[in-house]
Amino acid sequence: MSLKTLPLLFINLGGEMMYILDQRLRAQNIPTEKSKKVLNDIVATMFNKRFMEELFKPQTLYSKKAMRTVFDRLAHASIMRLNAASMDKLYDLMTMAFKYQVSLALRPKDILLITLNHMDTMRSYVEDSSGVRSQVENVYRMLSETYASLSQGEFQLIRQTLLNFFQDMHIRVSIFLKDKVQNNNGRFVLKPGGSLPYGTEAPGLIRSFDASGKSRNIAFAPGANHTVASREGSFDMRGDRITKLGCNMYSASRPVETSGPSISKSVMQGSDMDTSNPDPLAKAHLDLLSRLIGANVTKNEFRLNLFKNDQEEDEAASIQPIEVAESQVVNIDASKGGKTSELARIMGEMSVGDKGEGGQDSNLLDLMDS
Amino acid sequence: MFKKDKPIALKGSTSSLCNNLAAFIIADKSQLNYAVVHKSVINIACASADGSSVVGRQLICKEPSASQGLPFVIQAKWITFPTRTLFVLTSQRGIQIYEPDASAMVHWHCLSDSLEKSNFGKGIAGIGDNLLCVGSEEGAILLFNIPSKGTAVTLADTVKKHSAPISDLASEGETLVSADELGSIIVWKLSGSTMSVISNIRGSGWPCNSVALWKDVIVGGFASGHLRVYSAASGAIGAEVTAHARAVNAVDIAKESGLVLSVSDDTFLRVWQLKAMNVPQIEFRHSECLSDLQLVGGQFVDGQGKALCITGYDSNEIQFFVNQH
Repeated sequence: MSLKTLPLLFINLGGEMMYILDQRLRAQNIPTEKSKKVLNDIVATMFNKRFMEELFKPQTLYSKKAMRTVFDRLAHASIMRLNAASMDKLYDLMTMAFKYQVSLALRPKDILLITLNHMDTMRSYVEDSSGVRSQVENVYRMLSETYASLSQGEFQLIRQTLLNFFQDMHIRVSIFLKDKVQNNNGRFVLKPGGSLPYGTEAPGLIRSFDASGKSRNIAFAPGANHTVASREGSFDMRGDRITKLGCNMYSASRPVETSGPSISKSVMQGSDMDTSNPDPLAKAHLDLLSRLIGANVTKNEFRLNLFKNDQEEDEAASIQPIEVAESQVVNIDASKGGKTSELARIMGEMSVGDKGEGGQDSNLLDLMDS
Repeated sequence: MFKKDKPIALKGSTSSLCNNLAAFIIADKSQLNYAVVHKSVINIACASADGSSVVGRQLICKEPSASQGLPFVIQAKWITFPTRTLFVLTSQRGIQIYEPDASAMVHWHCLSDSLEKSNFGKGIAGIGDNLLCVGSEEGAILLFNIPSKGTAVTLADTVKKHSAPISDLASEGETLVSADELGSIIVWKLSGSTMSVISNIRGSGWPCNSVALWKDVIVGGFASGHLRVYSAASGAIGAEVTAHARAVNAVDIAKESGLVLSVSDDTFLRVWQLKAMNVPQIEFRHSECLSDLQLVGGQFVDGQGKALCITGYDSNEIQFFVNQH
């Protein structure tokens, strides 16, 4: 499948994570200063220049486990801490949200617009921190260079690669169930009709040509009403993306909530064997990320809860022991081989190079190194 | 016109790929075989003609040089030659050829061993008495000589006229039709052992995801939702249909009746009738919505098109529809 899928998967999952954290930070009345620091620190880590460069190299997707571990690390890149149950819930919500967006995207290229919606909101979180903002703007440029010129066919392969990454995940999300966009079996509602992909025509017409090339139209009933898309979303650094997919769907009145424990997370034997032995590069990236973040405790640390109260969280933790075990399986030891020494060099550069880039960066580094 | 019939349950769900359903009917044994790709695994179901017994099998795609785990399968299909039937699958890295029951591998051809650059195989067809054709991401078509028995498969030729990855192949007799990701279609004729181009149809930039051939009539299903009907000999367009609201992922033609099946991400399957005149024409016959299912595979079960089957992304079933007339 497409070797250009990883950056899109990472950025969109990251975007969904930020939406949820932002909403939970508000809901838990975390002081503004601390909330801002958390969002800022995580965006800064997520879009670290060298990490992005590694991510944008052509490669296969990480395994589900490795991807989960990356976000486990990323969520803890600041002074906020999540317990295993909250982390599980966070990751379930992120993945189902992006699966929904990819499933509902009108045409494969809309995945780039969805990504830009996520980028736009993440940029707004770091608007007043020039160092991090320039990191984010650099990623806009990388996205444009890598994806703007791709053919419909390449985007179609990217969409299929993403859908196959999310295959067999049917976790019910309460916000989707309430909006009636997800069925009780965890599948998304695909209503016939509505908006058409940009550049396509409404179904219902047969144009018949004769030998001289003259055409005659015959209609048929398409079984649904369609609206032709009048304009394409903007791929610029700022602009109207048209699609609402990938925008923040949470607000004070629409809180983050999953509907009980996840259902039908069946994993077929063999289905993920392709990824159970991940690319050594994925492990190297994980190591790079973990060095970036560090796992040190700081005194300002606070705990975020994705459940309504602690009791609920404890209950969730007690009924999902397998999940917790799984999430700790991935070993992120530096892997041996040619790429590792290069990464080690990059990591070395990073701890020196990034320090000078402004207050927020050194804040994060202090945190990492303390 | 078409009524839903009993589905077949698969051992795993269906991946999002174009043409993700192959059927192989053994008439004298009254046996129907279906293959559906699930990531690196192919789920094969063997059913008796009356549907009373279904046996499921799995083929896990491994590759001789696989140090990077298992590759995703892109397409799987049975190809029947006068002397032999083969089960062919393509992946991100190569082509695997099996005996028809998928029990033993006959041949493996590597397309790419680079980690940074893929070269998937896509589009599988047979022409002449013994030539297996497989398309590649680089836009080439590889032609393999298939012996009447044994494993001495050889690469006879590679032809390259497409500037984009091959998306699908279809064939009839000595004629091969190749489609690509920019929507271009090329018609080839085999004479002796050489392939020559008969006609060349320029695409509009939307991929032609699936192509079928019947009595000099080409039907192409496009990612823009269009079906287009061409004359193979001249390349002239006979009809353009705004057939679906999302990408068409598979088309098939019932060889004895000229019925066409198209399936799409828009949850609809549609049945059409071809008219093989000097400018080929198409008429609408039937439409069916499968709730919340993005359809990725579709095949007629018999030559008349009395029964058809479809698959959809993330679903564990092959669903059947039977014509009530």
